[in-house]
Amino acid sequence: MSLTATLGHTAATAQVAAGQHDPAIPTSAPLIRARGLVKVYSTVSGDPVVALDDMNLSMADGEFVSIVGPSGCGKSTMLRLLAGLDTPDAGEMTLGHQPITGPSGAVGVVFQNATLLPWMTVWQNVILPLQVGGGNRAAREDAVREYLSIAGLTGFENKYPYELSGGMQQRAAIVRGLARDPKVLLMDEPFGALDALTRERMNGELQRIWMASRKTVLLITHSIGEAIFLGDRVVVMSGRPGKVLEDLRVNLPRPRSHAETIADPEYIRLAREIRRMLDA
Amino acid sequence: MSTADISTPHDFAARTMERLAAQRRRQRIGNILLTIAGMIGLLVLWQVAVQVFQVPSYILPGPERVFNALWSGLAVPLDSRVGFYVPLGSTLGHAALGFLIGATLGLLLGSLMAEFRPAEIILMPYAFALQSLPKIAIAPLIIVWCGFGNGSKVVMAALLTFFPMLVNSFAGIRSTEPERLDLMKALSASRLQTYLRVKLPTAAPYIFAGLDMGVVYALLGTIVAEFLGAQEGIGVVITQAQAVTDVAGVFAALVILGVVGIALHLLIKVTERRVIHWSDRHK
Ligand SMILES: Nc1ncnc2c1ncn2[C@@H]1O[C@H](COP(=O)(O)OP(=O)(O)OP(=O)(O)O)[C@@H](O)[C@H]1O
Ligand SMILES: [Mg+2]
Repeated sequence: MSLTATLGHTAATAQVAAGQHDPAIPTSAPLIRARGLVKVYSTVSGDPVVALDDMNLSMADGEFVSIVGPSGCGKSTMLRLLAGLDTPDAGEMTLGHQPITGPSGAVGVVFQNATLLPWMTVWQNVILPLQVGGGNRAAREDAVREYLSIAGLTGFENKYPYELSGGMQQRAAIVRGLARDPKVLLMDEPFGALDALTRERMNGELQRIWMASRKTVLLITHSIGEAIFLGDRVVVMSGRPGKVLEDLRVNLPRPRSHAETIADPEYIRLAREIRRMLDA
Repeated sequence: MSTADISTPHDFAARTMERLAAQRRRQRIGNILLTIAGMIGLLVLWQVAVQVFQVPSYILPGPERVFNALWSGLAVPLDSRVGFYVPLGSTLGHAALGFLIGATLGLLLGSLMAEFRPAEIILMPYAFALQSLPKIAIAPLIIVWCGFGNGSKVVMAALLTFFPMLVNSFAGIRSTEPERLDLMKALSASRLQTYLRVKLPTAAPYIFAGLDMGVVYALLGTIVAEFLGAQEGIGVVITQAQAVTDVAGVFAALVILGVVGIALHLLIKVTERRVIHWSDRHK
Protein backbone atom coordinates (compact mmCIF):
# COMPACT_ATOMS: atom_id res chain seq x y z
CA MET A 1 0.00 0.00 0.00
CA SER A 2 2.62 2.50 1.06
CA LEU A 3 5.01 1.20 -1.56
CA THR A 4 2.35 2.08 -4.10
CA ALA A 5 2.28 5.58 -2.76
CA THR A 6 6.03 5.72 -3.06
CA LEU A 7 6.32 4.66 -6.62
CA GLY A 8 3.15 5.97 -8.15
CA HIS A 9 3.80 9.66 -8.06
CA THR A 10 6.12 10.36 -10.94
CA ALA A 11 3.64 9.60 -13.68
CA ALA A 12 1.64 12.74 -14.18
CA THR A 13 -1.28 10.96 -15.68
CA ALA A 14 -4.93 11.76 -15.26
CA GLN A 15 -5.17 8.51 -13.38
CA VAL A 16 -2.67 9.60 -10.80
CA ALA A 17 -4.21 13.02 -10.63
CA ALA A 18 -7.44 11.38 -9.66
CA GLY A 19 -5.63 9.78 -6.75
CA GLN A 20 -5.28 6.36 -8.34
CA HIS A 21 -1.67 5.22 -8.41
CA ASP A 22 -0.32 3.02 -11.09
CA PRO A 23 2.92 1.34 -10.06
CA ALA A 24 3.23 -0.22 -13.50
CA ILE A 25 4.24 3.06 -15.10
CA PRO A 26 8.05 3.22 -15.17
CA THR A 27 9.61 6.05 -13.22
CA SER A 28 12.90 7.83 -13.57
CA ALA A 29 15.08 7.35 -10.50
CA PRO A 30 13.90 9.75 -7.79
CA LEU A 31 16.34 12.21 -6.21
CA ILE A 32 15.12 11.41 -2.72
CA ARG A 33 13.81 8.05 -1.74
CA ALA A 34 12.81 6.97 1.74
CA ARG A 35 11.45 3.50 2.37
CA GLY A 36 10.02 1.86 5.42
CA LEU A 37 11.19 4.56 7.82
CA VAL A 38 10.50 3.85 11.48
CA LYS A 39 11.29 6.27 14.28
CA VAL A 40 10.62 5.51 17.90
CA TYR A 41 11.26 8.05 20.63
CA SER A 42 11.85 6.88 24.13
CA THR A 43 10.25 9.18 26.63
CA VAL A 44 11.05 10.05 30.22
CA SER A 45 7.65 8.81 31.35
CA GLY A 46 8.33 5.30 30.05
CA ASP A 47 6.15 4.41 27.06
CA PRO A 48 8.07 4.80 23.82
CA VAL A 49 6.41 6.94 21.16
CA VAL A 50 6.27 5.52 17.66
CA ALA A 51 6.51 8.71 15.62
CA LEU A 52 6.86 7.11 12.19
CA ASP A 53 5.93 3.62 11.12
CA ASP A 54 6.72 2.41 7.61
CA MET A 55 6.93 5.90 6.15
CA ASN A 56 7.69 6.11 2.43
CA LEU A 57 8.42 9.08 0.26
CA SER A 58 10.15 9.75 -2.98
CA MET A 59 10.74 13.00 -4.78
CA ALA A 60 11.89 13.60 -8.34
CA ASP A 61 14.54 16.18 -9.12
CA GLY A 62 13.00 19.65 -9.17
CA GLU A 63 9.74 18.52 -7.69
CA PHE A 64 7.78 20.45 -5.08
CA VAL A 65 6.12 18.12 -2.60
CA SER A 66 3.87 19.24 0.24
CA ILE A 67 3.20 17.12 3.29
CA VAL A 68 0.07 17.62 5.36
CA GLY A 69 -1.05 15.62 8.35
CA PRO A 70 -2.53 15.95 11.81
CA SER A 71 -0.42 17.61 14.49
CA GLY A 72 2.03 15.19 16.09
CA CYS A 73 1.88 12.68 13.24
CA GLY A 74 5.63 12.79 12.67
CA LYS A 75 6.09 15.41 9.95
CA SER A 76 8.94 17.20 11.69
CA THR A 77 10.43 13.82 12.54
CA MET A 78 10.41 12.92 8.86
CA LEU A 79 12.13 16.18 7.97
CA ARG A 80 14.78 15.70 10.66
CA LEU A 81 15.54 12.24 9.29
CA LEU A 82 15.87 13.52 5.73
CA ALA A 83 18.06 16.38 6.93
CA GLY A 84 20.38 13.90 8.62
CA LEU A 85 19.72 15.43 12.03
CA ASP A 86 18.39 12.17 13.39
CA THR A 87 18.74 8.51 12.44
CA PRO A 88 15.80 6.21 11.76
CA ASP A 89 15.32 3.02 13.77
CA ALA A 90 14.53 1.11 10.59
CA GLY A 91 14.25 1.80 6.88
CA GLU A 92 16.51 3.45 4.40
CA MET A 93 16.88 6.87 2.85
CA THR A 94 18.88 7.89 -0.17
CA LEU A 95 19.74 11.21 -1.75
CA GLY A 96 20.90 10.76 -5.30
CA HIS A 97 22.17 7.24 -4.85
CA GLN A 98 23.93 7.88 -1.58
CA PRO A 99 22.40 6.77 1.71
CA ILE A 100 21.63 9.68 4.02
CA THR A 101 23.78 9.25 7.12
CA GLY A 102 24.14 12.81 8.33
CA PRO A 103 23.78 16.46 7.38
CA SER A 104 24.83 17.27 3.84
CA GLY A 105 25.63 20.40 1.91
CA ALA A 106 23.18 19.21 -0.71
CA VAL A 107 20.28 19.73 1.68
CA GLY A 108 19.07 23.10 2.94
CA VAL A 109 16.73 23.28 5.90
CA VAL A 110 14.22 25.95 6.90
CA PHE A 111 13.07 25.28 10.45
CA GLN A 112 9.63 25.55 12.00
CA ASN A 113 10.54 28.86 13.64
CA ALA A 114 12.66 31.20 11.56
CA THR A 115 15.68 30.57 13.83
CA LEU A 116 17.51 33.58 12.49
CA LEU A 117 20.28 34.32 14.95
CA PRO A 118 19.30 37.60 16.64
CA TRP A 119 22.91 38.70 17.18
CA MET A 120 23.64 38.64 13.46
CA THR A 121 22.46 41.00 10.76
CA VAL A 122 20.34 39.69 7.91
CA TRP A 123 23.44 39.44 5.74
CA GLN A 124 25.45 37.61 8.40
CA ASN A 125 22.54 35.25 8.87
CA VAL A 126 22.09 34.38 5.22
CA ILE A 127 25.79 33.82 4.57
CA LEU A 128 26.23 31.75 7.73
CA PRO A 129 26.02 28.53 5.65
CA LEU A 130 28.94 29.81 3.58
CA GLN A 131 31.11 30.44 6.61
CA VAL A 132 30.69 27.30 8.68
CA GLY A 133 30.99 23.62 7.96
CA GLY A 134 34.31 23.79 6.15
CA GLY A 135 35.01 24.39 2.49
CA ASN A 136 35.45 27.75 0.84
CA ARG A 137 32.13 28.99 -0.42
CA ALA A 138 32.85 32.69 -0.56
CA ALA A 139 32.23 32.55 -4.30
CA ARG A 140 28.53 32.02 -3.59
CA GLU A 141 28.03 35.43 -2.00
CA ASP A 142 26.81 36.95 -5.25
CA ALA A 143 24.22 34.21 -5.64
CA VAL A 144 23.02 34.84 -2.08
CA ARG A 145 22.73 38.54 -2.87
CA GLU A 146 20.63 37.56 -5.85
CA TYR A 147 18.31 35.42 -3.69
CA LEU A 148 17.99 38.29 -1.22
CA SER A 149 16.82 40.49 -4.03
CA ILE A 150 14.35 37.87 -5.27
CA ALA A 151 13.07 37.62 -1.70
CA GLY A 152 12.63 41.40 -1.61
CA LEU A 153 15.19 41.91 1.11
CA THR A 154 17.66 44.12 -0.73
CA GLY A 155 18.41 47.11 1.48
CA PHE A 156 17.80 45.16 4.67
CA GLU A 157 21.19 43.40 4.72
CA ASN A 158 22.43 45.35 7.70
CA LYS A 159 19.26 45.17 9.75
CA TYR A 160 18.91 42.82 12.67
CA PRO A 161 16.14 40.20 12.68
CA TYR A 162 14.18 42.07 15.37
CA GLU A 163 13.98 45.03 13.00
CA LEU A 164 12.19 42.87 10.40
CA SER A 165 8.58 41.76 10.16
CA GLY A 166 7.76 38.09 10.69
CA GLY A 167 7.30 37.58 6.96
CA MET A 168 10.66 39.16 6.16
CA GLN A 169 12.35 36.98 8.74
CA GLN A 170 10.87 33.90 7.13
CA ARG A 171 12.04 34.99 3.70
CA ALA A 172 15.54 35.56 5.11
CA ALA A 173 15.44 32.06 6.60
CA ILE A 174 14.54 30.67 3.17
CA VAL A 175 17.40 32.58 1.55
CA ARG A 176 19.71 31.11 4.17
CA GLY A 177 18.37 27.66 3.33
CA LEU A 178 19.32 28.29 -0.31
CA ALA A 179 22.73 29.82 0.38
CA ARG A 180 24.78 26.73 -0.38
CA ASP A 181 22.84 26.08 -3.53
CA PRO A 182 21.48 22.80 -2.16
CA LYS A 183 19.78 20.34 -4.44
CA VAL A 184 17.04 19.87 -1.88
CA LEU A 185 15.26 22.37 0.36
CA LEU A 186 13.40 20.99 3.36
CA MET A 187 10.92 23.37 4.99
CA ASP A 188 9.04 22.77 8.23
CA GLU A 189 5.93 24.95 8.43
CA PRO A 190 7.88 28.04 7.41
CA PHE A 191 4.79 30.24 7.43
CA GLY A 192 2.98 28.75 10.40
CA ALA A 193 3.37 31.86 12.52
CA LEU A 194 2.07 34.31 9.93
CA ASP A 195 -1.41 35.73 9.45
CA ALA A 196 -3.46 34.42 6.55
CA LEU A 197 -2.88 37.33 4.16
CA THR A 198 0.86 37.53 4.73
CA ARG A 199 0.98 33.80 4.37
CA GLU A 200 -0.66 33.92 0.95
CA ARG A 201 1.82 36.56 -0.17
CA MET A 202 4.68 34.42 1.13
CA ASN A 203 3.29 31.45 -0.79
CA GLY A 204 3.38 33.51 -3.95
CA GLU A 205 6.94 34.60 -3.23
CA LEU A 206 8.05 31.09 -2.41
CA GLN A 207 6.61 29.92 -5.71
CA ARG A 208 8.57 32.66 -7.43
CA ILE A 209 11.80 31.74 -5.61
CA TRP A 210 11.22 28.08 -6.39
CA MET A 211 10.51 28.70 -10.06
CA ALA A 212 13.69 30.79 -10.25
CA SER A 213 15.85 28.23 -8.46
CA ARG A 214 14.20 24.93 -9.47
CA LYS A 215 15.16 23.20 -6.26
CA THR A 216 13.61 19.98 -5.08
CA VAL A 217 11.41 21.19 -2.23
CA LEU A 218 9.70 19.37 0.60
CA LEU A 219 7.22 21.63 2.39
CA ILE A 220 5.57 20.59 5.63
CA THR A 221 2.46 22.55 6.37
CA HIS A 222 -0.78 22.57 8.33
CA SER A 223 -2.55 24.50 5.62
CA ILE A 224 -4.33 22.44 2.98
CA GLY A 225 -4.59 25.50 0.74
CA GLU A 226 -0.88 26.19 0.99
CA ALA A 227 -0.06 22.53 0.30
CA ILE A 228 -2.09 22.50 -2.92
CA PHE A 229 -1.16 25.99 -4.04
CA LEU A 230 2.56 25.24 -3.90
CA GLY A 231 2.85 21.51 -4.45
CA ASP A 232 3.32 19.37 -7.51
CA ARG A 233 2.13 16.67 -5.14
CA VAL A 234 0.47 16.63 -1.77
CA VAL A 235 1.34 13.76 0.55
CA VAL A 236 -1.29 13.22 3.22
CA MET A 237 -0.08 11.54 6.38
CA SER A 238 -2.11 9.54 8.88
CA GLY A 239 -2.22 10.32 12.58
CA ARG A 240 0.55 8.89 14.76
CA PRO A 241 2.32 6.66 13.97
CA GLY A 242 2.75 8.59 10.75
CA LYS A 243 2.61 6.93 7.38
CA VAL A 244 1.38 7.93 3.94
CA LEU A 245 -2.39 7.91 3.60
CA GLU A 246 -2.48 9.31 0.11
CA ASP A 247 -0.19 10.85 -2.45
CA LEU A 248 -2.04 13.28 -4.68
CA ARG A 249 -0.82 14.97 -7.81
CA VAL A 250 -1.74 18.61 -8.29
CA ASN A 251 -2.54 19.37 -11.90
CA LEU A 252 -2.69 23.13 -11.82
CA PRO A 253 -0.79 25.31 -14.28
CA ARG A 254 2.07 27.50 -13.08
CA PRO A 255 2.68 30.17 -12.14
CA ARG A 256 -0.34 29.90 -9.92
CA SER A 257 -2.11 32.89 -8.46
CA HIS A 258 -4.28 32.69 -5.40
CA ALA A 259 -7.23 34.42 -6.98
CA GLU A 260 -7.40 31.91 -9.81
CA THR A 261 -6.15 28.78 -8.10
CA ILE A 262 -8.68 28.71 -5.28
CA ALA A 263 -11.50 28.93 -7.82
CA ASP A 264 -10.14 26.11 -9.96
CA PRO A 265 -12.30 22.95 -9.84
CA GLU A 266 -9.13 20.85 -9.49
CA TYR A 267 -8.11 22.85 -6.40
CA ILE A 268 -11.57 22.50 -4.91
CA ARG A 269 -11.66 18.77 -5.56
CA LEU A 270 -8.22 18.23 -4.00
CA ALA A 271 -8.99 20.39 -1.00
CA ARG A 272 -12.21 18.49 -0.36
CA GLU A 273 -10.47 15.13 -0.69
CA ILE A 274 -7.62 16.07 1.64
CA ARG A 275 -9.99 17.51 4.20
CA ARG A 276 -12.09 14.37 4.11
CA MET A 277 -9.00 12.26 4.78
CA LEU A 278 -7.79 14.46 7.61
CA ASP A 279 -11.24 14.60 9.22
CA ALA A 280 -11.67 10.84 9.05
CA MET B 1 3.04 75.80 15.11
CA SER B 2 0.10 76.46 12.81
CA THR B 3 -2.32 73.71 11.85
CA ALA B 4 -0.51 73.39 8.53
CA ASP B 5 2.41 71.85 10.40
CA ILE B 6 0.51 68.70 11.20
CA SER B 7 -1.20 68.41 7.87
CA THR B 8 0.73 65.34 6.71
CA PRO B 9 0.76 62.00 8.51
CA HIS B 10 4.54 62.13 8.54
CA ASP B 11 4.57 65.41 10.45
CA PHE B 12 1.97 64.04 12.78
CA ALA B 13 4.02 60.94 13.53
CA ALA B 14 7.14 63.03 14.09
CA ARG B 15 5.30 65.34 16.48
CA THR B 16 3.82 62.42 18.36
CA MET B 17 7.26 60.88 18.77
CA GLU B 18 8.59 64.20 20.00
CA ARG B 19 5.78 64.55 22.48
CA LEU B 20 6.36 61.04 23.84
CA ALA B 21 10.10 61.65 24.12
CA ALA B 22 9.49 64.89 26.00
CA GLN B 23 7.08 63.10 28.31
CA ARG B 24 9.66 60.42 29.02
CA ARG B 25 12.32 63.05 29.65
CA ARG B 26 10.07 64.88 32.12
CA GLN B 27 9.34 61.62 33.89
CA ARG B 28 13.02 60.77 34.18
CA ILE B 29 13.94 64.22 35.51
CA GLY B 30 11.08 63.90 38.00
CA ASN B 31 12.43 60.58 39.21
CA ILE B 32 15.93 61.96 39.65
CA LEU B 33 14.61 64.94 41.60
CA LEU B 34 12.64 62.61 43.85
CA THR B 35 15.76 60.52 44.54
CA ILE B 36 17.77 63.63 45.39
CA ALA B 37 15.01 64.92 47.64
CA GLY B 38 14.94 61.59 49.46
CA MET B 39 18.69 61.70 49.95
CA ILE B 40 18.60 65.23 51.35
CA GLY B 41 15.77 64.22 53.67
CA LEU B 42 17.79 61.28 54.96
CA LEU B 43 20.88 63.44 55.58
CA VAL B 44 18.81 66.02 57.48
CA LEU B 45 17.21 63.27 59.55
CA TRP B 46 20.66 61.85 60.30
CA GLN B 47 22.06 65.23 61.39
CA VAL B 48 18.99 65.96 63.55
CA ALA B 49 19.07 62.51 65.17
CA VAL B 50 22.77 62.81 65.99
CA GLN B 51 22.19 66.23 67.61
CA VAL B 52 18.94 65.45 69.42
CA PHE B 53 20.16 62.16 70.91
CA GLN B 54 23.66 63.52 71.50
CA VAL B 55 25.32 60.54 69.84
CA PRO B 56 29.09 60.78 70.40
CA SER B 57 30.97 61.12 67.13
CA TYR B 58 33.15 58.03 67.81
CA ILE B 59 29.91 55.99 67.58
CA LEU B 60 28.08 57.77 64.79
CA PRO B 61 29.39 61.05 63.38
CA GLY B 62 26.95 63.45 61.72
CA PRO B 63 26.91 63.84 57.96
CA GLU B 64 28.83 67.08 58.26
CA ARG B 65 31.82 65.34 59.86
CA VAL B 66 31.67 62.57 57.29
CA PHE B 67 31.61 65.16 54.54
CA ASN B 68 34.63 66.88 56.05
CA ALA B 69 36.52 63.59 56.23
CA LEU B 70 35.57 62.90 52.64
CA TRP B 71 36.67 66.33 51.54
CA SER B 72 40.01 66.16 53.30
CA GLY B 73 40.67 62.86 51.54
CA LEU B 74 39.64 64.14 48.13
CA ALA B 75 40.93 67.71 48.11
CA VAL B 76 44.56 66.60 47.88
CA PRO B 77 46.99 66.01 45.03
CA LEU B 78 46.43 62.70 43.20
CA ASP B 79 49.64 61.19 44.54
CA SER B 80 49.20 62.36 48.14
CA ARG B 81 49.86 59.68 50.74
CA VAL B 82 47.06 60.94 53.00
CA GLY B 83 44.40 61.17 50.28
CA PHE B 84 42.01 58.52 49.00
CA TYR B 85 43.43 58.35 45.49
CA VAL B 86 46.53 56.25 46.09
CA PRO B 87 44.82 53.57 48.20
CA LEU B 88 41.80 53.59 45.91
CA GLY B 89 44.09 53.12 42.91
CA SER B 90 45.75 50.18 44.63
CA THR B 91 42.43 48.56 45.57
CA LEU B 92 40.90 49.09 42.13
CA GLY B 93 44.00 47.98 40.28
CA HIS B 94 44.26 44.69 42.14
CA ALA B 95 40.51 44.14 42.09
CA ALA B 96 40.53 44.70 38.32
CA LEU B 97 43.39 42.28 37.77
CA GLY B 98 41.70 39.66 39.95
CA PHE B 99 38.41 40.30 38.20
CA LEU B 100 39.96 39.74 34.78
CA ILE B 101 41.66 36.54 35.87
CA GLY B 102 38.61 35.19 37.71
CA ALA B 103 36.17 36.11 34.94
CA THR B 104 38.36 34.55 32.25
CA LEU B 105 38.91 31.35 34.20
CA GLY B 106 35.22 31.16 35.15
CA LEU B 107 34.15 31.57 31.55
CA LEU B 108 36.67 29.01 30.32
CA LEU B 109 35.88 26.39 32.92
CA GLY B 110 32.13 27.03 32.71
CA SER B 111 32.32 26.57 28.94
CA LEU B 112 34.39 23.43 29.32
CA MET B 113 31.86 21.95 31.73
CA ALA B 114 28.94 22.89 29.50
CA GLU B 115 30.59 21.49 26.39
CA PHE B 116 32.14 18.28 27.64
CA ARG B 117 30.19 15.83 29.78
CA PRO B 118 33.28 14.29 31.44
CA ALA B 119 34.46 17.74 32.49
CA GLU B 120 31.03 18.39 33.96
CA ILE B 121 30.92 15.08 35.81
CA ILE B 122 34.41 15.52 37.25
CA LEU B 123 34.20 19.20 38.17
CA MET B 124 30.55 19.67 39.15
CA PRO B 125 30.86 18.24 42.70
CA TYR B 126 33.64 20.70 43.54
CA ALA B 127 31.76 23.58 41.98
CA PHE B 128 28.74 22.65 44.08
CA ALA B 129 30.70 22.27 47.30
CA LEU B 130 32.65 25.50 46.85
CA GLN B 131 29.56 27.33 45.70
CA SER B 132 27.81 26.75 49.02
CA LEU B 133 30.94 27.64 51.01
CA PRO B 134 31.18 31.29 52.14
CA LYS B 135 34.28 32.09 50.15
CA ILE B 136 35.36 34.87 52.49
CA ALA B 137 36.20 32.10 54.94
CA ILE B 138 39.01 31.01 52.62
CA ALA B 139 40.70 34.41 52.96
CA PRO B 140 42.99 33.50 55.91
CA LEU B 141 44.23 30.49 53.96
CA ILE B 142 44.95 32.68 50.95
CA ILE B 143 46.95 35.02 53.19
CA VAL B 144 48.98 32.05 54.42
CA TRP B 145 49.70 30.99 50.87
CA CYS B 146 50.18 34.33 49.17
CA GLY B 147 51.36 36.53 52.00
CA PHE B 148 50.35 39.94 53.36
CA GLY B 149 50.61 41.70 50.07
CA ASN B 150 49.10 42.44 46.75
CA GLY B 151 49.16 38.80 45.67
CA SER B 152 46.51 37.87 48.21
CA LYS B 153 44.33 40.80 47.10
CA VAL B 154 44.40 39.67 43.48
CA VAL B 155 43.80 36.02 44.37
CA MET B 156 40.81 36.87 46.59
CA ALA B 157 39.28 39.06 43.90
CA ALA B 158 39.82 36.35 41.29
CA LEU B 159 38.36 33.67 43.53
CA LEU B 160 35.20 35.60 44.28
CA THR B 161 34.70 36.59 40.63
CA PHE B 162 35.34 33.06 39.43
CA PHE B 163 32.28 31.33 40.88
CA PRO B 164 29.43 33.48 39.60
CA MET B 165 31.15 33.49 36.21
CA LEU B 166 31.54 29.70 36.21
CA VAL B 167 27.93 29.06 37.18
CA ASN B 168 26.48 31.68 34.85
CA SER B 169 28.44 30.77 31.75
CA PHE B 170 27.62 27.11 32.33
CA ALA B 171 23.90 27.81 32.69
CA GLY B 172 23.93 30.27 29.79
CA ILE B 173 25.56 27.89 27.34
CA ARG B 174 23.24 25.09 28.39
CA SER B 175 20.24 27.33 27.70
CA THR B 176 20.92 27.33 23.95
CA GLU B 177 17.73 26.51 22.03
CA PRO B 178 17.84 23.02 20.50
CA GLU B 179 16.52 24.42 17.23
CA ARG B 180 19.56 26.68 16.88
CA LEU B 181 21.82 23.72 17.56
CA ASP B 182 19.93 21.77 14.87
CA LEU B 183 20.58 24.64 12.49
CA MET B 184 24.33 24.49 13.13
CA LYS B 185 24.28 20.71 12.92
CA ALA B 186 22.46 20.84 9.59
CA LEU B 187 25.24 23.13 8.37
CA SER B 188 27.88 20.63 9.59
CA ALA B 189 29.37 23.41 11.69
CA SER B 190 32.34 22.47 13.83
CA ARG B 191 32.03 22.41 17.59
CA LEU B 192 34.07 25.58 17.91
CA GLN B 193 31.97 27.37 15.27
CA THR B 194 28.78 26.39 17.08
CA TYR B 195 30.26 27.53 20.37
CA LEU B 196 31.43 30.90 19.08
CA ARG B 197 28.52 31.75 16.83
CA VAL B 198 25.57 30.35 18.75
CA LYS B 199 26.29 29.22 22.29
CA LEU B 200 28.43 32.12 23.44
CA PRO B 201 25.99 34.80 22.16
CA THR B 202 23.13 32.84 23.75
CA ALA B 203 25.03 32.84 27.03
CA ALA B 204 25.93 36.54 26.78
CA PRO B 205 23.10 37.82 29.02
CA TYR B 206 24.05 35.24 31.66
CA ILE B 207 27.71 36.11 31.31
CA PHE B 208 26.97 39.79 31.83
CA ALA B 209 24.91 38.97 34.91
CA GLY B 210 27.96 37.04 36.15
CA LEU B 211 30.24 39.99 35.38
CA ASP B 212 27.87 42.30 37.22
CA MET B 213 28.04 40.12 40.33
CA GLY B 214 31.75 39.52 39.81
CA VAL B 215 32.69 43.19 39.75
CA VAL B 216 31.17 43.73 43.20
CA TYR B 217 32.67 40.49 44.54
CA ALA B 218 36.11 41.39 43.21
CA LEU B 219 35.99 44.62 45.19
CA LEU B 220 34.76 42.71 48.24
CA GLY B 221 37.55 40.12 47.97
CA THR B 222 40.22 42.79 47.66
CA ILE B 223 38.93 44.68 50.68
CA VAL B 224 38.79 41.53 52.80
CA ALA B 225 42.39 40.69 51.87
CA GLU B 226 43.33 44.25 52.82
CA PHE B 227 41.59 43.88 56.18
CA LEU B 228 43.59 40.77 56.94
CA GLY B 229 46.82 42.48 56.24
CA ALA B 230 48.15 44.55 53.37
CA GLN B 231 50.31 47.63 53.02
CA GLU B 232 47.93 49.73 50.97
CA GLY B 233 44.36 50.04 49.78
CA ILE B 234 41.01 51.37 50.92
CA GLY B 235 40.69 48.38 53.26
CA VAL B 236 43.88 49.55 54.98
CA VAL B 237 42.50 53.09 55.18
CA ILE B 238 39.40 51.70 56.91
CA THR B 239 41.33 49.59 59.46
CA GLN B 240 43.69 52.48 60.21
CA ALA B 241 40.79 54.90 60.75
CA GLN B 242 39.08 52.34 62.93
CA ALA B 243 42.26 51.91 65.01
CA VAL B 244 42.15 55.60 65.98
CA THR B 245 38.32 55.58 66.31
CA ASP B 246 38.05 57.95 63.37
CA VAL B 247 34.54 56.73 62.57
CA ALA B 248 33.95 59.64 60.19
CA GLY B 249 37.01 58.47 58.25
CA VAL B 250 35.57 54.95 58.07
CA PHE B 251 32.29 56.35 56.75
CA ALA B 252 34.11 58.43 54.17
CA ALA B 253 35.93 55.35 52.89
CA LEU B 254 32.64 53.44 52.75
CA VAL B 255 31.06 56.25 50.73
CA ILE B 256 33.97 56.04 48.29
CA LEU B 257 33.51 52.27 47.97
CA GLY B 258 29.78 52.66 47.46
CA VAL B 259 30.24 55.21 44.70
CA VAL B 260 32.91 53.08 43.02
CA GLY B 261 30.65 50.03 43.27
CA ILE B 262 27.76 51.86 41.61
CA ALA B 263 30.06 53.23 38.90
CA LEU B 264 31.39 49.75 38.10
CA HIS B 265 27.87 48.32 38.02
CA LEU B 266 26.77 51.05 35.61
CA LEU B 267 29.85 50.45 33.47
CA ILE B 268 28.90 46.78 33.11
CA LYS B 269 25.27 47.67 32.36
CA VAL B 270 26.19 50.18 29.67
CA THR B 271 28.58 47.71 28.06
CA GLU B 272 25.92 45.02 28.25
CA ARG B 273 23.33 47.19 26.54
CA ARG B 274 25.77 47.85 23.72
CA VAL B 275 26.91 44.30 23.28
CA ILE B 276 23.57 42.49 23.68
CA HIS B 277 21.51 44.99 21.75
CA TRP B 278 19.19 42.24 20.54
CA SER B 279 18.17 40.73 23.82
CA ASP B 280 15.48 43.00 25.31
CA ARG B 281 13.57 43.16 22.07
CA HIS B 282 14.06 39.56 21.15
CA LYS B 283 13.03 37.82 24.34
N1 LIG C 1 12.68 14.28 20.90
C1 LIG C 1 11.49 13.65 21.12
N2 LIG C 1 11.33 12.86 22.21
C2 LIG C 1 10.17 12.23 22.44
N3 LIG C 1 9.10 12.32 21.62
C3 LIG C 1 9.19 13.08 20.54
C4 LIG C 1 10.39 13.80 20.23
N4 LIG C 1 10.18 14.49 19.08
C5 LIG C 1 8.92 14.22 18.71
N5 LIG C 1 8.32 13.38 19.57
C6 LIG C 1 6.98 12.84 19.45
O1 LIG C 1 6.85 12.25 18.18
C7 LIG C 1 5.60 12.57 17.61
C8 LIG C 1 5.80 13.23 16.26
O2 LIG C 1 6.42 14.47 16.47
P1 LIG C 1 6.67 15.50 15.29
O3 LIG C 1 7.33 16.69 15.86
O4 LIG C 1 7.36 14.81 14.18
O5 LIG C 1 5.17 15.84 14.85
P2 LIG C 1 4.66 16.87 13.74
O6 LIG C 1 3.86 16.10 12.77
O7 LIG C 1 5.77 17.68 13.23
O8 LIG C 1 3.67 17.77 14.61
P3 LIG C 1 3.32 19.31 14.39
O9 LIG C 1 2.47 19.37 13.17
O10 LIG C 1 2.54 19.66 15.62
O11 LIG C 1 4.59 20.06 14.27
C9 LIG C 1 4.86 13.44 18.60
O12 LIG C 1 3.95 12.65 19.29
C10 LIG C 1 5.94 13.93 19.52
O13 LIG C 1 5.42 14.07 20.82
MG1 LIG D 1 6.34 19.75 13.44
